[in-house]
Amino acid sequence: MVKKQKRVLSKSERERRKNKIVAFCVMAVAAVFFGFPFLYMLGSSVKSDLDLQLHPELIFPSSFGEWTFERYTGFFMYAGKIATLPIAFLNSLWSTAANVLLTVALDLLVAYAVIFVRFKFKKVFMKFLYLWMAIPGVIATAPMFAMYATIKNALGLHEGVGAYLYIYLWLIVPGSTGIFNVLLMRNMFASIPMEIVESARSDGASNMQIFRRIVLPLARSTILLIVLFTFNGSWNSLAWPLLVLSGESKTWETLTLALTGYTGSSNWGQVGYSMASSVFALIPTLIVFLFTQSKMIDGLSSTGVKK
Amino acid sequence: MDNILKERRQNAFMSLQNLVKVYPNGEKAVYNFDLDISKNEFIVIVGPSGCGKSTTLRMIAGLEDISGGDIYLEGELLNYKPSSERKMAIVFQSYALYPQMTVYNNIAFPLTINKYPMPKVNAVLKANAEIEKLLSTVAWNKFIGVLFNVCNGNGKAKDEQIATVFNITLYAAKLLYKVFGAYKQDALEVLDGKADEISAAIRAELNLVVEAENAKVQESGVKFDEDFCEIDESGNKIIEQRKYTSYEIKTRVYETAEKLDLIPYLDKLPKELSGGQRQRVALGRAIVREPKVFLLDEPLSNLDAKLRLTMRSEIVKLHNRIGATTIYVTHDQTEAMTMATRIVVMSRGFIQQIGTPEEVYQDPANIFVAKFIGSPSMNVFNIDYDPESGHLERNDVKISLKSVFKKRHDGFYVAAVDKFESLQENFDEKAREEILKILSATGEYKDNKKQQKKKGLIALIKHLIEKQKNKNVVADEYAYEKEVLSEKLAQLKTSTTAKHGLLVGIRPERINVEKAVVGKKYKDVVKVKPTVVELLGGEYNIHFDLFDKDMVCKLDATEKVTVNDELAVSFSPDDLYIFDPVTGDRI
Repeated sequence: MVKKQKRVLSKSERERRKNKIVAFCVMAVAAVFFGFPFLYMLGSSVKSDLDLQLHPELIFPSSFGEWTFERYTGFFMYAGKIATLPIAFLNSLWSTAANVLLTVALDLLVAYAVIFVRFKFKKVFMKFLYLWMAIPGVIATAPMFAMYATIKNALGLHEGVGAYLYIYLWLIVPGSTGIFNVLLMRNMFASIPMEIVESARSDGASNMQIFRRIVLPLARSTILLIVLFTFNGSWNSLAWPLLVLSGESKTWETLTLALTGYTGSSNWGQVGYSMASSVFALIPTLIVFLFTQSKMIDGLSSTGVKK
Repeated sequence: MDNILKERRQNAFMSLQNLVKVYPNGEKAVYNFDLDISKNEFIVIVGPSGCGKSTTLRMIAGLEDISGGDIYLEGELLNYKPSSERKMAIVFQSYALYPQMTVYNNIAFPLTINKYPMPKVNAVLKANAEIEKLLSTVAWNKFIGVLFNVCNGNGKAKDEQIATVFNITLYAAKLLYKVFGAYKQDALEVLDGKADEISAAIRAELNLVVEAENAKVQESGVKFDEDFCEIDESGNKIIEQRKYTSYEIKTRVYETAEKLDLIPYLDKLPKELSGGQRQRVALGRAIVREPKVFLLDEPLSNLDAKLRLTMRSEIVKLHNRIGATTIYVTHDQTEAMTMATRIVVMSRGFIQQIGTPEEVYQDPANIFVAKFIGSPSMNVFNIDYDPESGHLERNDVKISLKSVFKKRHDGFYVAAVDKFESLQENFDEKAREEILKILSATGEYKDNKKQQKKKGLIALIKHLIEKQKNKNVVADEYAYEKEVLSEKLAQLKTSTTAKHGLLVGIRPERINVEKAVVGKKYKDVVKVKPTVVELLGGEYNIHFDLFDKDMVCKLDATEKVTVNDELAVSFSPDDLYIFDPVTGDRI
């Protein structure tokens, strides 16, 4: 047998390997740092009541006898009744889906118009968008709530399906008007060579056809990026739903709002339930991330400035 | 004047009348572009970069607004039509292929999105005639062999395969495929014997549909011509606007791809192709919809030198084969000379000359065209002209011109002075453009109008103070042009009688040059030493200094020439191009 001789690494290879090791260590520390709360959540969700009280310092239950999955069943059924949490989950799901769809549609249309359609006051319009971005969302909260409440009172929408839809309209629509996403899409469209669109135009394509057949397929990764951003933003939003849904029925709440029910000193005993619910709340985000993450880098890099 | 324009619009295939482009910032890119194009012409617009040639093309294509003037195609005004309705196809320097589509889809794109005018054909009756013809003309064993092979062979869309093989409509092929389906398990030898049975089955199937169709036709009272196209009372074909069917698109795309040798690449994405192949795809996308006019915007500039040469001849061949009217924009005068039926030379937004390649080369209208066309470009030098003796003189070189020249020279200057004086009398926008055109030809054009905007607060305050100071002074917007005009007029006036300078040009290949042999005596020859000797293979380009200018001449490489040799150079007066340095025009 020929003895395998160990190859001597060149200087650049050694350098690269060293860099890799350092990067790996830093990443590992960061992963532990970010992953710990997640692990603690998973572990606490399967601890028995006793373990939760006696061993809060352990990540996982102290012995096999202390493992329990009743929190997970408790997410659906609580005290013999269907819990409000699954309903809140569905509320969150549909409003977030609507938000994502609306955002993508608006962003695509606005970005297309800004880049490929000639109209008057385009520059003014763009300046207006930039200005819009300069206003922090928090400032708009109070006037927005005033508008929300005034119209609600004027229309007399205090209960029933009408009130529910009205409230969710206010949850969905303002969330879809983020300018950052529009600019992201605009930059992506700006990087499409103008000649492609011009030659499609002289091939006889209308704006709608150019949009659907040429621009849309090219914008796919940016669309996925925006889906990810918007989904996370909408799914995790708390302050605004807290404001408009306060005092409404428990079954109208969004999931983030329902989870806040576990915080506060009177609910200390429900740590296990809150952890299990959090796991459920994580699932959609994980799914969306799995579907979009491969395109995310692509999308981020293709929204760069036109060369 | 209006009548002339009207007549031109009716007679010419395409008429570009006084096209003007002014950009929103007030900069004028194209001045009075005036050109009539007849059918099947290959027009090349050539000029240095920034001369407005691409802008002109984009105006024709409808991608750029027209600031003034009209475009007519077959007598129809195009100014306000969007580019999608102009029936023109444009090919860009960057190919502009759709990156996410395969080559097939790229070429098919214009066919899939548009409706095209087509005669209304009755599919049933046409299929009937086609199958009858097929049964009576094609030998039975061949006919059944093809059917057998296709139906038992690989591949999808067998009806389309049948249609392609027999060159019949898809409807007829479907019918054949349907009838033959019952027999396809039989062996070929068995089928050979069943000629009567199968053809009877086919005819029976045909009769069924044809009878139904005939009844329908009689009820509606539609008439057909011999190709089964619907016709109206006066016998004209009824044209309907419809989209291509997928089979029609397929055949069209394959036809086009075959013309351009693109069949092997139809499934590839543009990024997998080389530059030349991409360019061919772009051309294919343009020709597949059979536009009335092709617009090519520097299509070869992104290719390497060798490929450019092949594609150049490919485009010319393509033009000869389809014969479509083409407008081609380039900055490369070689492309212009080799491809064009007519060349339009532009500079600074002005047309300098329109003519066939021979005219532009042999008979340049002004100094700009003379210098721009030809490679290596024309040698131009200053020389003094003495009207009394009729000689061109410089240092000790003397060239005697024919007496005809004196007459021409005097006539030229008298006319020029007249023209300038009338311009000076009432100076308006037109006169200004005249001056600018002269400047564009002589190369003295400067962007004097465009003042660099200085940024910053201090610059702004300075500007405002300046403005305040000059509030009462009315600025003459033509001041610069008027100054130029009077200057030139003065020069022209002295030139009519006194000794003055002229610009003389000579093509490199027209310079008589030979290697000077020591001891030999030469007459009327200037002896020079070459500065650079470039061997191109069959010939030399020899640079030498004469009259303080770098001149180039060509010499056959039969004899070795180095920079240490001495050359004997002489000109024949007939080969000289003489230009007026004031206006740049040829005398």
